[in-house]
Amino acid sequence: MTSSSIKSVLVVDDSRLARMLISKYILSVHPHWVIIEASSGQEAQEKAKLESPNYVTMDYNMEGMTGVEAAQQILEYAPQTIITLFTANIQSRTKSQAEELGIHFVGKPVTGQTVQQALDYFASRA
Amino acid sequence: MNNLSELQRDALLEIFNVGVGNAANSMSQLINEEIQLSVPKLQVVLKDHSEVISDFIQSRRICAVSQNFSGPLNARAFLVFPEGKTHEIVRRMLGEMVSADELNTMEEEALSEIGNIVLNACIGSMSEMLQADFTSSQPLYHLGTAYSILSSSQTDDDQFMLLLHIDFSMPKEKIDGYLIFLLSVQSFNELIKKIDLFLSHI
Repeated sequence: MTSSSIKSVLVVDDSRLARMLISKYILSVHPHWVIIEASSGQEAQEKAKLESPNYVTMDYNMEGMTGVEAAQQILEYAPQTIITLFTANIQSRTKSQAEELGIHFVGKPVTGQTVQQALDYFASRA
Repeated sequence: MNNLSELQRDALLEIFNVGVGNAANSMSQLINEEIQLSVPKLQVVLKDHSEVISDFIQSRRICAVSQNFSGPLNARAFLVFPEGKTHEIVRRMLGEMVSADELNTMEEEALSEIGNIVLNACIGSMSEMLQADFTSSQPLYHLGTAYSILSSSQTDDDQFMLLLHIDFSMPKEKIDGYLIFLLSVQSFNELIKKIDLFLSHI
């Protein structure tokens, strides 16, 4: 295992359960990856600045700023970050907002399959 | 007993979050508008819920759609909106297809369908996450005070109420909605057991 193959993922979701599930599925595929967690858009920004993650999974519907707003701000100072919006808000408007920002969209629930969709996207952009 | 752990509460909220998110997607396709949802707020209360109801919706007149769900646990589920607030949804749903007169008569049918979509999406999400199969009854439409509707629908067995408050915002209208689930002690315990089982696999 080379250090370049070890990636870090910032998992952003106001649900602790969702964060636990996403982390579990990521680690089951990539046991050596580093998981960083944030429970709000604000915290996501702070952690993104501190930790410079390679990848981000971002919930949409959170207290304070939405996941799209948080993603937008992260991309402003770290445009190389690869982000997937991971949300139960599967309306076309949310999808098109993600598309406009150039970020990927995956609909909840959090399952092995949906997390794999996010991982496939990360791999395709690596 | 109704004190859920933080993680059990989180699991329930995530189930409803996914369910309502899916339902909002179906609804937004029906009315051709984006629907913004607030972060849901959950309360679990015991049967003597009159105080909670008065806190939340008081004696407001509401319109509600209810459905019974049966499976490993049984629940009576309600989607509740304040009376009068639903015209906009129905108007957008049916649009130019019908006249103003017809709109009123169609309201019950249209809201029953919305209730059907939202309640089934929540139960579908519960079914998927907790690995349990449910069957559902036909949706029933109610109009009246929250107190009268809930008390008349409640059986002696129903001891627990899950009360979930969600704002549905459309570009021109904001509607505060509630999802209410009435459960017997046995069904509530079964729900907790299923959640614990689910959590033990993480």
